[in-house]
Amino acid sequence: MRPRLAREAAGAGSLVSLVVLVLTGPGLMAGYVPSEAEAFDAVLYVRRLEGGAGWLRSLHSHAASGAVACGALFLLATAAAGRPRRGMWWPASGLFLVLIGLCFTGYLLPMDQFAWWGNRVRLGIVESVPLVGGWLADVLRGGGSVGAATLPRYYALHTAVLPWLAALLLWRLLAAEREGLAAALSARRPLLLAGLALAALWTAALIAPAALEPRADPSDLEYTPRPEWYFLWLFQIGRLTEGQAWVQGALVPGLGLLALVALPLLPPLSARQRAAAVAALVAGWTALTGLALWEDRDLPPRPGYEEALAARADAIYADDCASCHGSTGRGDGSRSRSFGLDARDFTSPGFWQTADPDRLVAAIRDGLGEDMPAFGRKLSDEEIGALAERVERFRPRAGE
Amino acid sequence: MRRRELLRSWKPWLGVLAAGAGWPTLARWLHLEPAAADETWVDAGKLGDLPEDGWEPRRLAVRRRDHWRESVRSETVYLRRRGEAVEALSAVCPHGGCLVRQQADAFACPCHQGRFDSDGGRVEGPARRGLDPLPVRIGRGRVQVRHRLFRGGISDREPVAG
Repeated sequence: MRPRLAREAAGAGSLVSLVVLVLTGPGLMAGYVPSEAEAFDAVLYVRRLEGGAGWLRSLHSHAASGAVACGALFLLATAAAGRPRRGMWWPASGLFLVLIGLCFTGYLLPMDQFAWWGNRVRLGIVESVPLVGGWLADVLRGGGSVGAATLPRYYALHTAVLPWLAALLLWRLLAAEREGLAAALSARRPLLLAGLALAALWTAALIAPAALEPRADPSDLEYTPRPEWYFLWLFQIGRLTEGQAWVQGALVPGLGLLALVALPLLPPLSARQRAAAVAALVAGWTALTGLALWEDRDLPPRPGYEEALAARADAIYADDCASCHGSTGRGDGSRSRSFGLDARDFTSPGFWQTADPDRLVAAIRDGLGEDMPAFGRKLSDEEIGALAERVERFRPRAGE
Repeated sequence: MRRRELLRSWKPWLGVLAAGAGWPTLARWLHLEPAAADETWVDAGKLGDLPEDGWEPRRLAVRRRDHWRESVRSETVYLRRRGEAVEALSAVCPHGGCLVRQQADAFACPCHQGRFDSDGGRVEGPARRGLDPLPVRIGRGRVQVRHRLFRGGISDREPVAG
């Protein structure tokens, strides 16, 4: 691709992503509580209101990915075109770093498994930074471990501190790029690119909604945390330099920061050197990301919230219900047959004449008659609700 | 820039304004509650249910006082029984905080390849100490653990709040 077109496309993509982030943010805030105890339920509630799609959240999440990708490409394309001017390069780099900070703080907010574990590992890496790491992690968390004080701090950073910082840097960047921007806005191509970027974000949000994983569980031994796609390269460096946590935590980010700050001050490189440097960066990133994915090829896919809950309901049904109600729901399990228990047949239309979701939930929770035990102490409300939905699946369809 | 010019510029005044209005916020951010040592014992099941030798994972419901909130958090520990004595190890990796898993007779972390031997000692990987042992006591046939978390990434065992 021609460098100028690449830079224009990346710039348009970044700007559109930023606008979408700013505009969808308040929509998400209106359905959110920054509380460890309530955040996940609030997110889930909004997701159900939107018919399980969570498209507002999807739009915000995809725009964040888009802003990181386009921002990185914009910096790369700018550096490839020649030694950047300080006045535009520093605000642009700063904006990119603030964007990474926004991702860092935003990912914890839904308090699902991905959020919890990703944050735990990231803070662990922050802690391994020499001298200031432990203190910095404590200030971010509001204490020695993630707890009641943490989400309010992340929320304040994510919705107030960092956005203001980003606005300030964007203002400096646009002021430095005034002439280029005016020329771009009078031409047709950049506007077309911006329109394409917006259409791409909407398409992505509608066909590939952002994942919501199960509720955060700090005691889950099965969960294997992995970073977002754009941090896999750093994760892989951590794996390759095992034993030296400071390489991943401090050395590589420090070198990256130094390169960003120093680039406009270094003697200008020839076009050939620039092309080689860009090619090396792109190849390195691709190789590390590819290697990270390849080494993880045997990891089981991470289920979403609804999927995991349905699987849990299947397991509970098999363990606790099938012995009486039978694995096909006919009420013909081995226990009910050998003890002559009166287990309901979930496949008979007669059963469904009186059953409704509320009564199913009540029967599972409190028991029914002499033979149906109460499960309210053993199972959570969430599990009982999912189990009622599992039983609904035995319901014969009309006309069958 | 001469001093007079500096005073005439608006930028230093903006800094003074920011410092004057912003310090209460900064103070709020830098205020961290001291780690309150949690002295409660958490039930970890019957002694009789633990197999002889070999580590068993157990989930504990750890009640904690967290700023303005009383909460219960689920945490995983590994228990090993030898006769009437029980040892406990925190499952939290002392590097990044992922939960270590049993691998053959030892422990491995799924995040950054940390490895620990069958007593929890550090073998290789980025962790700078072995797995953290937790105090255990036996009362009326039940195992009780005093659960705590330790700061990651360092070689000392520094307990943190919660």
